[in-house]
Amino acid sequence: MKNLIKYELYKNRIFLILATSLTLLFGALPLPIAIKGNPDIGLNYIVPILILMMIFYGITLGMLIFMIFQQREIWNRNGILLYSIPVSRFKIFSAKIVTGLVSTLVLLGITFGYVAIYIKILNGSAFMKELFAAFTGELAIMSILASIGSWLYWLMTIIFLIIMSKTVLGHHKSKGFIIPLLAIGLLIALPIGVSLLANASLVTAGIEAAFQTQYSSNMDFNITFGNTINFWVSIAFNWLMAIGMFISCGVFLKKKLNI
Amino acid sequence: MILVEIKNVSKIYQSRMALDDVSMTLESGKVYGILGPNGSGKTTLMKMLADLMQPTTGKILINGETPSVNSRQIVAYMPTSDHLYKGMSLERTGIFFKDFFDDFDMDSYMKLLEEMDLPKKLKVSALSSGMAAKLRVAATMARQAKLIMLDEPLNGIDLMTRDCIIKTIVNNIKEDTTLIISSHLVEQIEPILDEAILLKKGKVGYSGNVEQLREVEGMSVANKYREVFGA
Repeated sequence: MKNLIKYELYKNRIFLILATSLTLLFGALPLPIAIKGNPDIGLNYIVPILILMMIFYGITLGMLIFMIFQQREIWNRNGILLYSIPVSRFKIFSAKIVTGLVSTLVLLGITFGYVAIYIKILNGSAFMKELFAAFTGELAIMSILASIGSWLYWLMTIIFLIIMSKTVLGHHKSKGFIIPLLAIGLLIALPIGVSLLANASLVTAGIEAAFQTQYSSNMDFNITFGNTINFWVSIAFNWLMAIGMFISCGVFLKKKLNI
Repeated sequence: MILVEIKNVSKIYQSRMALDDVSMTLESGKVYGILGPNGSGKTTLMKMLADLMQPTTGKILINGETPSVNSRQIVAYMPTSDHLYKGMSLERTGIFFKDFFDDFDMDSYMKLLEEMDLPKKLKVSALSSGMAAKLRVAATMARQAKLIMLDEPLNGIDLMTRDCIIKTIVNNIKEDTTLIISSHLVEQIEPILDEAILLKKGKVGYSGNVEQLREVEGMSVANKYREVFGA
């Protein structure tokens, strides 16, 4: 088991680098928005939201990329070596989960470190504030990011289930085992997915509301026709993503597992 | 002594029958050649013995047990594809095998690398196809497994590398080890075979002792292959 985890980490070093970079990138994007309107608000209200957002993206991206890497291994030739090892498939699966968690914790550590540094910057250099402010786009960026996040969660959940069924059951085992497992998995995943989707919408809506009401006087960010459209577009975007995900997963499952 | 029993095994991929009611027994200490064209079921059979696949129907027994964690301890399987981790050096690959397979002999592995002129510090990704084929054989043969399976070890490589691999196999096979080797290059592997099994469209087209085939039927395995597959 120890060896398995060691090699899972060794194999996934590219994942760690990639996921770290993406976390920093995605984490960095919403931050300038906070400063654009009013640098003083950062520590009071927006920063906790941003921390949550970054944790959200950190976990999503970390686990997603990890799962994609694992999925690739199960279906490609390296899987032959892994599944020839005389340890139970359950242990292999457990090692992958442990590695995924360890990797995610690493990402969270980096995220928190990043936030800490950023808060420092927020309190300090005016130049940095200006610099970050220069990157800002519309509030829509935040909405789209939240949408992508929820979409990634969907993808991750589905991939996770497929991996679980393939890893535990092995290659090309009877479909009779896979279908009930997927059905149980989907029953668990569906409410989680829906709640995450709703959360992403709420986060989007919450941030918009925060900007539009609490700080509207400071930021000259009054509710306008454009912002209202933006809000609904972000919600619609979320759901369109989810529907698209359902369709693509359906096609994927049909092709790969012949369900 | 019987090491492997295959009883009425069939394997269906969606609608395609890869193996059709195959039965055979494999004895300890013999070299078996599983021969046949592409799609005849050679790899499927080996993967089932390696516990990488399950038969649709029928039963497989290795050392009296169905393929499982236990059987994987005594079975060494070399697939056709490059299944080793590309980021590892050849030495690191050996350590990987040593970590996971109790019967892996590191000294023997290093000796095999030396014999086949493979630099241990080189990365797997830097190997030519011939070198990669040699490495796969070295990593598999360094295990002191009861059943060793080499799937197409001579595929896509030049004559000199083929000779080197054949020599390595012959020199390193233990007396009580059962070796299964599959290949399209019948004439090349014929000299090392004790038994030949010809698979035709998932069925056993011929199975018999190579020596007897020569003495009784006055036929080489290659000629038998031509007869069975209708060349």
